Order: sequence, then C-alpha cells, then structure tokens
Amino acid sequence: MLKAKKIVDLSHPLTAETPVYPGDPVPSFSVATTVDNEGYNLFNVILGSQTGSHVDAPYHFSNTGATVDKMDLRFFMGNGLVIDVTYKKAKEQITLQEVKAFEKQIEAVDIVLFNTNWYQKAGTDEFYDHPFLSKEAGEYLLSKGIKTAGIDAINLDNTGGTEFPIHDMYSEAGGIIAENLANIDQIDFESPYIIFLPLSLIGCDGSPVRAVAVDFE
Amino acid sequence: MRVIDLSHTIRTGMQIYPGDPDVAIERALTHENDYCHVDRLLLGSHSGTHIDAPLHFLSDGKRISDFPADKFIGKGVVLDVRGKKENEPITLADILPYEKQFERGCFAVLMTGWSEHFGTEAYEKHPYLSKEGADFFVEKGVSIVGLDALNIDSTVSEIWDAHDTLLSNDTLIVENLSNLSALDPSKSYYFSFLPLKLDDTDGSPIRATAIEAGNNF
Repeated sequence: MLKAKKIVDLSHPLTAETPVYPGDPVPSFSVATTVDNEGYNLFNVILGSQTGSHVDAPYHFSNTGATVDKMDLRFFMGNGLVIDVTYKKAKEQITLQEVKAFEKQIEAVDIVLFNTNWYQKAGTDEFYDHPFLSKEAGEYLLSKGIKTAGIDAINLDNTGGTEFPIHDMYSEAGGIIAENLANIDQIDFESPYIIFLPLSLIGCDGSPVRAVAVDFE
Repeated sequence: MRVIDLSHTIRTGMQIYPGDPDVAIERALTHENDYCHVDRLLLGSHSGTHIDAPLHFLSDGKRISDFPADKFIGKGVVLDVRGKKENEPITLADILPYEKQFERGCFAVLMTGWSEHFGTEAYEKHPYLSKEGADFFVEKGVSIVGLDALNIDSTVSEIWDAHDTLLSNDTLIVENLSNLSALDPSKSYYFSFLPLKLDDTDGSPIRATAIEAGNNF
C-alpha cells in the first residue's frame, strides 16, 4: 500500500485579508452559531469561486466551456513537474525556450507547475506584477498533452491587461489552470504527486482548493 | 488508479442541518458584462460534504487550520453498516468485525446507505454512531471518522456523544459523504478529506474522494 512520506501544503490561508483579483468578490467570515447559544460553533463563509488558491474550469473564460462540477477529477490530481523560474522579474514572460528545455520531463507528467516565488509578495502591490506564461509556451504545453498548468502567482496570464491568451487556449482545450498556489519552492523531493480537488460547485467557473504536493513512497 | 467522488454537489438551496446558513451560488462577474465568469459562494462552514474540527463543539478546541495537510490524506477502513432503521445506533457489535483492519492514524468510513435520502425529510432520521462506537475509534487511534449521513450523532435526539468523544480526542469527523456504495468494503482505499485552508473556522466544506491505487499511483 502506498504511503505518503511528506506532504507540502501549496495553499494560501483563506482570511478576510486574502488578496483577490481586482473586481472579484471579497471573502468574509462571520459567526453563525456559538457553543453558548446553539451548542456548537459554526461560521458563515463567503468566498469567490476564484478566491485564494483556486482552479479555473473552461467556463471561466467561455460560455460554452465545462463548469467545474462537470470536470473529471483526474484533471485535478496527477504526477507533477515543477519548473523553476524564480529568476524572472516583475511582468516578465516565461518563454517557449525556457519551457522547452524541460521537454523530456514534461512528457512524463500530467501537471506542470511554475515556481516564481511571487506568492511571497501577497499583501503588497507588487503581487499583481507577477511573471506570466507566454502564449507560445502555453501552446507548447498543450501540444505536449499538459491539460493542467499551475502557478504560484495570482494569474497565469498577465494581470492588468485585456488579453488572456493562456486562459483562452486552456478553456478552448478543455483544460484546467491552477492559480495563486503557494510554497511550490518548498517541494524538495522528486516526482511530486499534485492534488487540488475543487469543491463540487454546480455551474461554477472554478473553485477555491486546498492544493498539496505529496511524496509517495 | 481509480478516483471515486464521495461528495454531494453544492447548489443553491441544498439540504442543510436545520438552522445552518443557507447555501447560495450567485453570479458576481458574467461573460456578458465582464471579461470572465466568477461566482460568489455563500456557505456555512459545514455545508454539504464537510469536515468538523474540535472547535465545532469545544470553544478551546483546535481549528481546522491547526492541522497540517497530512492529517487529511490517509488509508481508510470501509465499514458496511447498511440496513439500519431510522434513528438506529451503529453499535460496537457492528464495528467489531472490522477490528483487525484498524491501524493507528487510519480513517474509518461508515457506509450507512442513508445518502440516498439526501434532499428529503427522511435524511434527518439517519442512523448514528453510538458512544461505545466512538470510544472504540478513539481507542484504536482512528484519525478521522466519516459517514454518509447528515450527522454522526442523532439529529432526532440532539445528544452529542459521538461529537464530544471524537472531537475531544482530536479525531475529526466527516459528514454528508455520498456515493459510498461505489466502494467495496473488502478493499482498502486512500481517502482525501482535505479542507479549504480557512483560518480560524470550526470546519470546512470538502471534495471527498477515495483513491483505489494499483501498483502505480
């Protein structure tokens, strides 16, 4: 029987202060019941479908795309490859050449994650000036059969622009994008198994997730 | 590897524990008016398939964010306790045939079959775990106990023995599982009951899954 030797938590904490994409719903938490009054504690939880660490279903960018509840769970778990691009500066593209250098490894996995370390800037203005994936690099990943791609920044496309080529192509391809991941730099073992299962939200464009990288024996 | 979804679909107006916050999914951004689609999720910390932390019943108990992610992924024993009548306890005698399968830190998943009543009044009259059964799981070092019913205690009597016993020993509880009939009690599964990383709450909605692993995960 398989056994998890180590699990790295790839998720941001969800609080009222969790930074959201400009214009998205703001998360909030409030007391619903208490031990003193009703006998048990319970909270109201208000989140956006894209709050904190989350996954995007094709419907996020396409009216005809699949909603998150219709996606096969295999899109949200699989063997992962981490590509280190921590040398990237603000608003710099991750190029085709930089991704292509990992061709052999990409062919062996289901999920590709980009380690920018930008998650550490959460709470600052610079958080939104993250590196992003170039159109050519996205097309290359899809051509290699990578239907799930993730990043430890708030967006796999450039934030602040009006073009979302990676979202458009992943939506068109029926794939999944995981954003706002954290701690990818803490994965210190080979062949991480990645899990970021969405809530089963009917008709939704995406879901907040608890993302993890597992080191199985 | 086979992945089995054990979660109810989260939808506006779904059945909840009496008095819990109503569930609603609202449009926040739409394709017609915005560059993409984003929803606003109004949930309780125990909406749909969910996990309870000790804080749910103990004011000084641990919060869901106090447990590392590895608490929520593990091997589980499936106990077939179907055939119970309304509001009938799951006794120690029901559990003892499975005694040899328990290892410290594993999960126990009680298959009552009651999830077929989800959405009806009968769903509130589910079987429940007896105090003796809860004591047994604590003694065996079971880490999480789950079941496919609204509540691990009786919703009719509102006596909270199982919650009190399990949560006071940091044994977590998963309620409102679905689709357990897809599992074979003679097999062992890996389960993922990962919560959202909700700071300071007493629990979280989850996407519960069972993983039937072959030689390659």
